Amino acid sequence: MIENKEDKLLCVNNVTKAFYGNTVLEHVSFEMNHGEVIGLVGQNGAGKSTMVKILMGAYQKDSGSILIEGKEADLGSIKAATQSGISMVFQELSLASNMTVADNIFINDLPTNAFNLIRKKELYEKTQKLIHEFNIDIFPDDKIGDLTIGKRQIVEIMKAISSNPKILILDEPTSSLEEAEIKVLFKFIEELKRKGYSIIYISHAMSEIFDIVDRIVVLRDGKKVEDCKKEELDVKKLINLMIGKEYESYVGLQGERKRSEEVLFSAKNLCRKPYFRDVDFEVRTGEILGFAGITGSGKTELCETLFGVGKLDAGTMEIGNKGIRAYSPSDCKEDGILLLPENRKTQGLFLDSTVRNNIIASIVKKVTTGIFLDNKKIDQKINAYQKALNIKMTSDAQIIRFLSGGNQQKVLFAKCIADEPKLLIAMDPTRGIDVAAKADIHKIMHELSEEGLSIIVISSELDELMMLCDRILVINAGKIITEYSRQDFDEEEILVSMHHHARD
Amino acid sequence: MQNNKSIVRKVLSMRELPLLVAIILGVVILSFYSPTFFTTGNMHSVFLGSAFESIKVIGMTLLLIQNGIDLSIGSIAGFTGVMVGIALDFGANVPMAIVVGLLAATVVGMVNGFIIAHLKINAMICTLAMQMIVRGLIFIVTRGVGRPNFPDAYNAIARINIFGLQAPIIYSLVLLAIFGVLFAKSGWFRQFYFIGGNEEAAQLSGIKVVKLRFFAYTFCGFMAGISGVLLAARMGGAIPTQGQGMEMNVIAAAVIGGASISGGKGTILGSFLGVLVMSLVINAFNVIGVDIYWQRTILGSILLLAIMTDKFRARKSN
Repeated sequence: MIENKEDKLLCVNNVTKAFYGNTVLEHVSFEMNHGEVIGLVGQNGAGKSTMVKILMGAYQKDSGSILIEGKEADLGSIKAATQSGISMVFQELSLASNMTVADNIFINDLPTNAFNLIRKKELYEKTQKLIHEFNIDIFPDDKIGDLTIGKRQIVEIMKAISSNPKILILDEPTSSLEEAEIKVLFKFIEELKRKGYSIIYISHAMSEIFDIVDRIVVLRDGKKVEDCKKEELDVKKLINLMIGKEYESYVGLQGERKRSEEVLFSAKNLCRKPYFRDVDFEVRTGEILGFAGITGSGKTELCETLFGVGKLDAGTMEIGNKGIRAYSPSDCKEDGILLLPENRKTQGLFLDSTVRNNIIASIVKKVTTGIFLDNKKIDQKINAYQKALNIKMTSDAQIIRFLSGGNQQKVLFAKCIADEPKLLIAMDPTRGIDVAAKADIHKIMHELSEEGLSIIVISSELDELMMLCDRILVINAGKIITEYSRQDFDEEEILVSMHHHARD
Repeated sequence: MQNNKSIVRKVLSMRELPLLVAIILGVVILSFYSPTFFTTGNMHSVFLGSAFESIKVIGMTLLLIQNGIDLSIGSIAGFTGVMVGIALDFGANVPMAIVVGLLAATVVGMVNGFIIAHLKINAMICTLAMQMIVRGLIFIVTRGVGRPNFPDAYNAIARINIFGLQAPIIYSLVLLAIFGVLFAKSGWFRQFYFIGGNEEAAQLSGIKVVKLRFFAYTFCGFMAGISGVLLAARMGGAIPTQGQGMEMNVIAAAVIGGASISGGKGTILGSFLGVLVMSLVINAFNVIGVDIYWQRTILGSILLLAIMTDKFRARKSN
């Protein structure tokens, strides 16, 4: 049977887009059927976000056409795109946190009476109906600020579907969620699928793609390189398509490695109410130690406190047999500890500054000769890290905001190790970046640990910890409850231990 | 050869270039309009007029770079003059009087710094309060009459000629040159740009944000003090309203020169050019004889134009 174009929900034909002579999308075409879920995948910088922004009306295509149900769609602005039936859920949450769930969902379509006042009862009933449909544990009058990030994400999606869109775009909906929350969100997305929503799903996580989508469209360097049913691909094939060459996956440590017995860092009886208490642990020279725990287990606060962000109520710490105070990050830096923060954009980088400036931010003293910055020393550092981490940039004068997420993360990593710390606390060191960039960072973490750098790492992905670490400590309700050495790593056991209700 | 090329490219990519071109164009056009405009005497008075604000703008630029502001510098300058006067009345010699004045200015800057950096009070509000408090102190201490008639020995510091130029011009150029180089090239000063660019990231990079911020306000107070010392000598006494409203001109000049009110950006060269634009405009009005009431309106328009140009450039370079 010859398929008629008008039967298709969405037809993207030969769409091209360039910014200042830089082509980011080149003759991209794909189609979408009613009720279909397609995964749009590609490395950072492949053109996914540009494609999506064109669909939602934020960017205008240079040439090509986009048809919705056979008719040329008006995507001239975000408003026009919404009216054409495209609704988007953003990566960064955009809810008003001191307003209720109901207010947020219907913010663009509040039921009002003759005096333009809100009809509260009707608003709550509409919201309740929507919540009931999806069987979610949320109440219409809950304040957004009181909900977990995962539930906020669900509210965000409900807000998007409240206008009955034809196409729903989900951009990395799990990027800020922990595993338990992801499960809840997945249940919700399954429900959306069953109800016949047509979804474009964007994600870096391979497992999500294969779980959720029907069809996969792969973009690379602005071109479509594959468009097929997900059954025709596997993870390895997909990664090869994304990076465009035979990918040798970085498998990390093989078996047990020889470890130094020398203790570099030790913590005794660390307490900080209400986050953690009685925390004891040691890190050996050149060891990679993982903290596993769910959100709210206290692992984030523990890492921050080790770096002087927040004050200890009790406990002592030593590095190289010297007691440390950890009153402030600058104290800790002087003692040889550095932190790679969780959020590269808000906590890590100086986005409007150059790559060069970003890399020297924690080492201004080291690259100063007399009173002036020493360009030779800076060049040396930058060349070394650009090579070691495989950072792609046009020059070190490039403003970091315009690098891809993976390259930004690499610069952040370079900035942290440029000071040559003895202990690096890496918080989610590969969050939201593509597989190739991930592998580059994992590799250098292992290389540096071979050279004697000790690393404490936390991650939202347990796989990552199991691949990286020599030892994993499970933190549950603010206490270290179990310890696993590399040879005893068992995903299921660690997960149970993370979620197990610790009671005294 | 290659070096030459890179210097040309460097000059062409300078953020201050449009401002510099505008100034040169303005001067050329104005000298056709009025024969008295581009004369040694008139140019001398333009530079003399901008010398006091040039000194203040150094401190203000550092504050803007690290994402702060100081509305009290006009009051600090006035207060400095009064303290100098009191010291002279008590029989202090000239150097001692200067030290007393500078000390007073620095202490006010330190108070600002402590409240803003350590207690984390909003800078705009804190320095607005300080502007009122210090201005009030001037009136209280002098019972509203200031300290007129300084001795000639003191006034000489701002009235002598050095290399044929009025002393304040030389002082300001020396300070501008020193801090221009330091702001651009010193690693220690680079830290202020980091704080203004992203305070949390700076903190987590081990930069001592509180300490540096405290320094920035102290430094700004000190620079306002230097300008106050010179202003009083120039005037030959301390009037209670001395320096009033100067902070707004100084902030406007820095912003015209490319400093960002949201931090992370700003250079001494740019800020100095900003000061120069403002004095040139004021001077041009006087020389050409245009209605004086238009001055503030034109200056305000220039400020707006400068911010919009900057925004446009930033968008284009994306």
